Amino acid sequence: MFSRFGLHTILGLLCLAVFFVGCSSKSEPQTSNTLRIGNGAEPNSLDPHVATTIAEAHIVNALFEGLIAASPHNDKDIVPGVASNWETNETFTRFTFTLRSDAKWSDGTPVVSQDFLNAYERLLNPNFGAANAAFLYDLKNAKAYNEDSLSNFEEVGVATPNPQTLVLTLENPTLHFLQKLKHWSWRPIHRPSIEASGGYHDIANNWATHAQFVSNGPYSLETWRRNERIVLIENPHYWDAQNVSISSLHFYPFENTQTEFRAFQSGQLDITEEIPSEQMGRNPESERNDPALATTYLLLNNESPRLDDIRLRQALSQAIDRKLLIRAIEKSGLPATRFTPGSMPDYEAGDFATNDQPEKVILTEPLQFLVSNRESSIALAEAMQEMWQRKLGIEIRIQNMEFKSLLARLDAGDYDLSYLAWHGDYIDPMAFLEIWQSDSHFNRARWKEPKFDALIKAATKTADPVDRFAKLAEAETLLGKELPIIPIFWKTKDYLISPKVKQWPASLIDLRSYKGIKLSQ
Amino acid sequence: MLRFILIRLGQAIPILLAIYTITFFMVRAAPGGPFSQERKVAPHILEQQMEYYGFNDPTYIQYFRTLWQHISFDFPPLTSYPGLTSKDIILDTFPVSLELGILAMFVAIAIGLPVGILAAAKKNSLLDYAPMSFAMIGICLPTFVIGPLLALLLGVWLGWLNISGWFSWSDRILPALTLGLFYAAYIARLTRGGMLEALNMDYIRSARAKGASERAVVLVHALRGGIMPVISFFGPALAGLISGSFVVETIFQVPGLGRHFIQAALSRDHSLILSTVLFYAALIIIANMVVDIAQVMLNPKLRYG
Repeated sequence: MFSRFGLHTILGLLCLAVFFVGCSSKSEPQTSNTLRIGNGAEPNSLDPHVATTIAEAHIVNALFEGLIAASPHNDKDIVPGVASNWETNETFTRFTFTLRSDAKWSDGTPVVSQDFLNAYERLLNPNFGAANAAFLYDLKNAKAYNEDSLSNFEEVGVATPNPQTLVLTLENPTLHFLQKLKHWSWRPIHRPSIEASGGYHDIANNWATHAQFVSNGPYSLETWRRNERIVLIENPHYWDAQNVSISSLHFYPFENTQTEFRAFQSGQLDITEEIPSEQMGRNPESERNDPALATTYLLLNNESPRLDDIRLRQALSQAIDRKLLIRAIEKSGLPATRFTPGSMPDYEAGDFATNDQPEKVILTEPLQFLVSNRESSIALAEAMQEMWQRKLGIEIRIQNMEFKSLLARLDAGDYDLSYLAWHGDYIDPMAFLEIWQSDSHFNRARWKEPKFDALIKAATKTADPVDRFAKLAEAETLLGKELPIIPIFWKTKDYLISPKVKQWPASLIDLRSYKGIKLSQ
Repeated sequence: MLRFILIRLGQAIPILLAIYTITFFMVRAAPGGPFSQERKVAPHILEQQMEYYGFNDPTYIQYFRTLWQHISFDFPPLTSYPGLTSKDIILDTFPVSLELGILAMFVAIAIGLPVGILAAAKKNSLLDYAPMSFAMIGICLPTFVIGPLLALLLGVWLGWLNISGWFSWSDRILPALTLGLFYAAYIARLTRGGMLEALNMDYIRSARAKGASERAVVLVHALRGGIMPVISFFGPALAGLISGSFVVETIFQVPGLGRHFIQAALSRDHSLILSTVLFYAALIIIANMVVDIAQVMLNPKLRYG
């Protein structure tokens, strides 16, 4: 009898458990003026000093406003944010910002110049260890302070003569400084609320997840349910609140683009982050392909003796039929003719070198091509392998691996070729060129070219915009001639958008203003 | 029974310690570190991060420190979620996986058990072949095929259910069904096998000889013995189900623990890898113990020992 009872107890308890968990679920309220955005990976942090991914930036961008705001119309326009106006000296080394008096934090206190100074000190503090600290190196002495060779922050080029005035002194003439200021690492932060939840210089302080989260942008955080949804609601204290039309933004993380696509199809989402490649071009009424500042490229190991021959590098580049790759595999983007994307505004520079008769170069052993284990990367690598084999008789050995293992191999210099992408952080060719300087830590190609370094340096030192672009174009041409990296595609930002979303602005750097967006019912 | 439980828990300690040790050194042997990114971090910042998280200390110090953190439940900040610890992640996501796992188990039993019993009782008839072929397909078709198919059918075409999220009651249906169907197929096969064996036993012949109805023979006499293989399968299956399924959680965007297993490894988050692995190991040990107790309760021939 007891044993029968045992079986029934187990089954009975199971039924009960199911009943109770079923009861505990609650349904989701849905308001009409809500924009539901597919947002890619789950954010790791919403602290603007910790956030590094674009998925995090999409949200940080709605929560925090910097001196300069994103334009709702044209991405490259400079639109006042917290600063109502500004002046610069003739050499573009000192910028004086006047903060608007009605700029407020979401707790109602005013945004003052000290909030910016506090933010910059935190990001640059050597004990904080912010991955994005280098974004502030434009400020005088900022690099020294961050590298701990200067201990007095007063020597860094930030001054607050009064609560409404912020003076930024720069290391070099920086004509594109206002463009750079749009990056989220330049946003102010609310020191008291950070200190209330832990150490100000502690990277593990979780202030940016709290309900008491204080921000100064058009939106403030309502809830963050991890891997489910982040809900932002209108910040009533925002100075321009009357021009904010959408009352709440819902950001949904999606690891799987197929899931995101189905969610869009079934009406659960208004905008997607991506389009699965087999769906490209099949939803013309909702598909958008905005120009983006992003280039995919072959990373060459410039220390490898096998790739020493410039003719080989040029031949490799020339043998790639980029149009075919786009048509057959990538389904999006444009064939790249230089590293800085063609969508860079007002920038003219030469394409990379081509010659009509690619030379046949004899290699004694096959080149090692490391790619990540993403399906599309493997397919691209195999297609290129075939093109090189057929046109040049060059043998390639492809090895695909998990991404962190790939990075470890690249950092150890144990490779010949790899396939990566670079996304511009601000709208200026410098965002693409400065990374190939000899001493840049982004320079994974291990390319060292004094002539290139000299050109970038000269462009950094000049206050003449024409001369500056000429120097950058010259550097670009040199990069295209030497080919330490081989540009493949200029990417586009491909996504699906519901017809009821109006005035969703395109953005070259995928950081847009949410202010002007409207929903038609 | 108490003595049995205490012995089992005592045996769990060296097992968990061995799992901890193996995982600890495997994680360190994996190429790439928690801070390596496509956009490389400056060397002095990398150095600061390594120092902050204690990666610069000698390995034996890290080994014992992390061990102590797991014994005392005092976890360090995670490298992938700087504001959180692995305790936060597990407390946050395990209830979701538990709920999904229990629902899926319910689906699996509600479908698998009757199908298996019926197939055994009507051996070599259509009622045996049809459901069993179906079960074979269920086992062969992975969840990443069934899941999207169900989502397309019930979510996109019929529009009855949300295809992603974990908000309302109805959001539980698709993931539980997907996960449950897979286990239902297993349970059906195990039940059929166990029942066939039981139905050939002498005591069944006796029961029939005494004039018990066929219904009573199958559901009362044979089922008690026939269900044994299912109960043994239950333990590991339950542990696997409630600790979350990466595939199902990704397909339906369910905020469960399963995805953290994979994500922690991919992002080389040492602390989170160790915590999730140990948590899973502990769950398996407990589930197996519960199953052993259940078997003794159901089978008078077994004793604790």
